[in-house]
Amino acid sequence: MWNIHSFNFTLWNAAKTDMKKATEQIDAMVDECAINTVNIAIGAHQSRAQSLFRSGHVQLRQISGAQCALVGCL
Amino acid sequence: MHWWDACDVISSSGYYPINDWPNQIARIEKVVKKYDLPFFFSEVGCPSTLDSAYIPNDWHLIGTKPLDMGEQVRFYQTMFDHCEPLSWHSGYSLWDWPVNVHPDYNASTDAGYSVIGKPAAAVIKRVFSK
Repeated sequence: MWNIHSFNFTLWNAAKTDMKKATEQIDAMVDECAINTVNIAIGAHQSRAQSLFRSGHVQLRQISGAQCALVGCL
Repeated sequence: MHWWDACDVISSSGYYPINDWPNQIARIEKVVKKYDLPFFFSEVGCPSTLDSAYIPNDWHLIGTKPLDMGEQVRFYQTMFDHCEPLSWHSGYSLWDWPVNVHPDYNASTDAGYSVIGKPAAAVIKRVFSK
């Protein structure tokens, strides 16, 4: 059985999000609260969200040993 | 709701009053066991604000009531105490960890939902590290 230990990590203004800083915050999350999953909710039009996910967010999947899941496109 | 069978996972936003967790768990358990699907809290949290543990989804209390780090700790500890023993429960996605943290951010004066640098973070880490 899977067991999600996660925070909501919501990009309210995805187009202006500094992905380097966002990555640093995920690292901090993993370190300070022992999370195993990051739920990334992107506040953007679906086409824009898909573009972000296929570029910067794919990289987020690979950091810190945590899984990153795109959980919704607003 | 009549289409749980079409879902892969059942979820809830767990902004429940600190004294109502047993009732909420009993309510959720009936659905989860009936449809035999995984369950987790897709969103749950509490501000570090006095009285917020009794109405954790009311962000209007932030800045209106006094800052109270213990309130946030009590909410998380109560939730974990009730949920961790449940065999049908599969985790939490907590609200929240902000994406954009200002360089001058001071956790000791933040009465909001974030747990960065607050005592609640230690409670979370202790449970998440198990």
